[in-house]
Amino acid sequence: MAGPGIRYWELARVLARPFQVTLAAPGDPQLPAADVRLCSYEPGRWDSLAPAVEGTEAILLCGDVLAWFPMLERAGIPLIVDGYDPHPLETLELFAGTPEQEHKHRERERILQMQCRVGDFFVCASERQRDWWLGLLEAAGRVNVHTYGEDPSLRRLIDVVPFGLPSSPPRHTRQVLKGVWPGIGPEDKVALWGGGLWQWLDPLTAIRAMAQIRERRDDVKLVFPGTRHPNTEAVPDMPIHQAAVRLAEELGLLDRHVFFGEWVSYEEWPNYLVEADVGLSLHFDTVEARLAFRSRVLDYIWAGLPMVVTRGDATSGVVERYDLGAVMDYEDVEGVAEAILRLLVAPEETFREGFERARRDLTWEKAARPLIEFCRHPRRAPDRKAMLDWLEIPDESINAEEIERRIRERSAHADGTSPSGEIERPEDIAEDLWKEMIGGEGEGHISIRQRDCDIVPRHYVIDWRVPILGPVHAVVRRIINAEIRRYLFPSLEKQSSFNRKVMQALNDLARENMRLRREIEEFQRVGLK
Amino acid sequence: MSGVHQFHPTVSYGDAVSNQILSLQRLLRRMGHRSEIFCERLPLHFAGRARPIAQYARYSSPANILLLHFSLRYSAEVMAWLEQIPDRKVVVYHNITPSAYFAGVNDAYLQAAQAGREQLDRLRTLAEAGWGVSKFNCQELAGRGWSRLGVLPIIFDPRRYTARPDRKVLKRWRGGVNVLFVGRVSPNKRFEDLILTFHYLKRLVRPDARLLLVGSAQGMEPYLEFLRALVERLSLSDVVFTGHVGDSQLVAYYRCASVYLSMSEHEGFGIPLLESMHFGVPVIAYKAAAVPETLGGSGILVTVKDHAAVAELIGLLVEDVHLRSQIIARQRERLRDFLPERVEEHLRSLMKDLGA
Repeated sequence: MAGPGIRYWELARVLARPFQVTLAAPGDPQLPAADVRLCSYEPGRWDSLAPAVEGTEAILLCGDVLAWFPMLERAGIPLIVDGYDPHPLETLELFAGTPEQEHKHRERERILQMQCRVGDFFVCASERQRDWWLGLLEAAGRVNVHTYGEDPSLRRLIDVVPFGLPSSPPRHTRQVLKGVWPGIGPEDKVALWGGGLWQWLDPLTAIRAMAQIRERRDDVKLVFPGTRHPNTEAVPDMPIHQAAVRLAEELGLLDRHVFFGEWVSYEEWPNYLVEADVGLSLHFDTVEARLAFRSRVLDYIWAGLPMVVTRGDATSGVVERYDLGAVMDYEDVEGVAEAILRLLVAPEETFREGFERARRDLTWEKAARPLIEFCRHPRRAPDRKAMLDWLEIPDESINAEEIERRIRERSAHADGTSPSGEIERPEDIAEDLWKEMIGGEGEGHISIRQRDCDIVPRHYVIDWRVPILGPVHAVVRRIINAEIRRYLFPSLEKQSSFNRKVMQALNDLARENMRLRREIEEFQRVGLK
Repeated sequence: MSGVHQFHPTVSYGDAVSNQILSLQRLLRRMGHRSEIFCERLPLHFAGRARPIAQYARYSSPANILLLHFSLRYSAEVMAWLEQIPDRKVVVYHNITPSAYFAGVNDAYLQAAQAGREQLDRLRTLAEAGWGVSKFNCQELAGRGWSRLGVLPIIFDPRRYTARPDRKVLKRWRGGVNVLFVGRVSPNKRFEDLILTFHYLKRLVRPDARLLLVGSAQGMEPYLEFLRALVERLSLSDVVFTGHVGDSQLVAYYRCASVYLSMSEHEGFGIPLLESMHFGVPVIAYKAAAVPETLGGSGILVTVKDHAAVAELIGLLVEDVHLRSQIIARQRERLRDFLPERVEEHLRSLMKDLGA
């Protein structure tokens, strides 16, 4: 089970104590959880999810679910948007340098905007993420007189539900690494890379550090037990995985000191954690790291596994706060090697108190409190509620509320099946088209648009209203038009192309002018000081 | 003998301001006033019914009341003429679409709309009163410092709609779910919202639906091009831009309509709302500008442009016969307020205020 799966399974488990919970997931959810009703759905097929939604008082969902089922927006049920994962930033990294990047990122942006628009309550995994979300929500117009009026701290609009730890310690049920994994001896020391190999993570530094460690100790082994996401359609194998394997091979470490597995089931995962001696969580210096919350670090805390992590993300702050290991700079090969060696020989009690404190503080039960509070009194966000009272039928003999209810019911049962991936809202298409064809005349732009440059007639040249021609028969008119087009088209095309170049030059000039003006203003400001 | 005359830069058959001028003339004459219509540009076919302003000198008198119908802007010559004549003046304000709507679509309209609003301030010093065709219009005048305001609603004359419905239109569009909008193709009328709503209607609610958009796009070609591109991008079929239509065609379109949908953001009054009431077509309209006032407690107002929800509402209105008949009945009741005899009461009261 990957991070999202773990998060929703654990939250469902905790929420199921005070409430009735249905956990809906794509595919075939198999993990049984007491008091949680499991159901599966097919992305984009509303009829597969609709029965789970029926009678529900609140829905917790992440962005993709909204993209698959936009009709949830109109289902009349309060929506809790979970924004723990900065997907748009991950996508930028994941598709960096590929032709798909722009399209994929645009898709994610649309989903993000949709989330901002429809959520009644938002949760995320850290205070740093909350700051990011507050910016997004303000840009989406959700920080407004209604939401601020309800709660000036905006905690009723967005609060933090971090990842938590299970309340019971991990149970070792069978040997999976030491003495079992080919190449790892029973007495060897294992550095564990918990979780997948995603593009924004830095396994390369870990592998290079292993090359240095090998020079000093032969019994230290680095294991990547789960390198691929079980759902390769949703999360494809990423190039960093191949790069890591290649590097290990080049350094002569592959299957001797560095080992790669495929995927580990959630039930098996505690065995790996318990057998390991040190945990790793390294990443590159990207904006993703600034906002990420690494659930693998929580797993290490759960198992009491001292860890080496890269600074910069929210979880490295947890490691520092509770003193749970070493926090390193980005791509610091020597530092990581030294830290692993130091942690391997550190006495067990060095980190004991820190782990105990962290375990006390970071439980799913505590993490889920804002969610439990919301679910006790599920409600529409005050600004959304204002929007939902959208119908006015002044005739007193007609019950407008009843009509609204019927419309919501109809919307929820509408056959909204849409092919997966088709997430562009018609409203966004219209907006883009308006910008493209009519456009706003913003500062620094010449008020000439592409269509002004294009002087090639689109349909026909002669209109029947031209009095000289009179009511010329349509076929004749078409023939005349075709002839005129044939003669005029090349020169008109040439002129259009020239016009476009002129427009580009004028726009460039306007931009340069703007830049110079700003510089002059800056000089004046500095000069005045 | 003093008279109550009317002026508008031009008059023609079929346009809303001209219809109001002609209806008012009938009322004024019935009330015993001398009443002539004066224009700056007089179309040939109107020669018998209106006069050029050059002839006004013969009629001019300080005892006269000249109703100045104002819907866009007056030329400099007209403004100069108004400053010269001694007649008492009342501006009948039909409203001007805010200029911002025309940015990028029609620069001439944009400038005319801006200039028209500026002229309102000059007219304030010339006119002794301002009558709006709606409270909404009066509020705008009040906001610009006008005092002595009154509402003179649009007169709805059912006789204007007695033309035999065009057979071709009936044959082609009768049956199925027809969503109708009547009005000039102009950005303030938000045709894109009509198309977006229709997209949801067609896709999720009624695949047999059609969107009939009746009105001229003259001068708004870039906007029309945008709308056509939107229809194409959404792969929509059954969206019909009819262009300008004659009386018999207009009647036929109303006869074919299942629902009248308005997403317009700026209407000084909204005559097609009255026409829908007359033809028994239930109205769904976005609550903006003078629209709620014109509907006056009838029809259905939406306060948020949730296109998908509005599409469901259309579906509901088409399928729920009882709801539909309730809406239509209320609309018919409301229409009575705009019949000539009712508006005559308003006019008498306004004239009394002027001491005429």
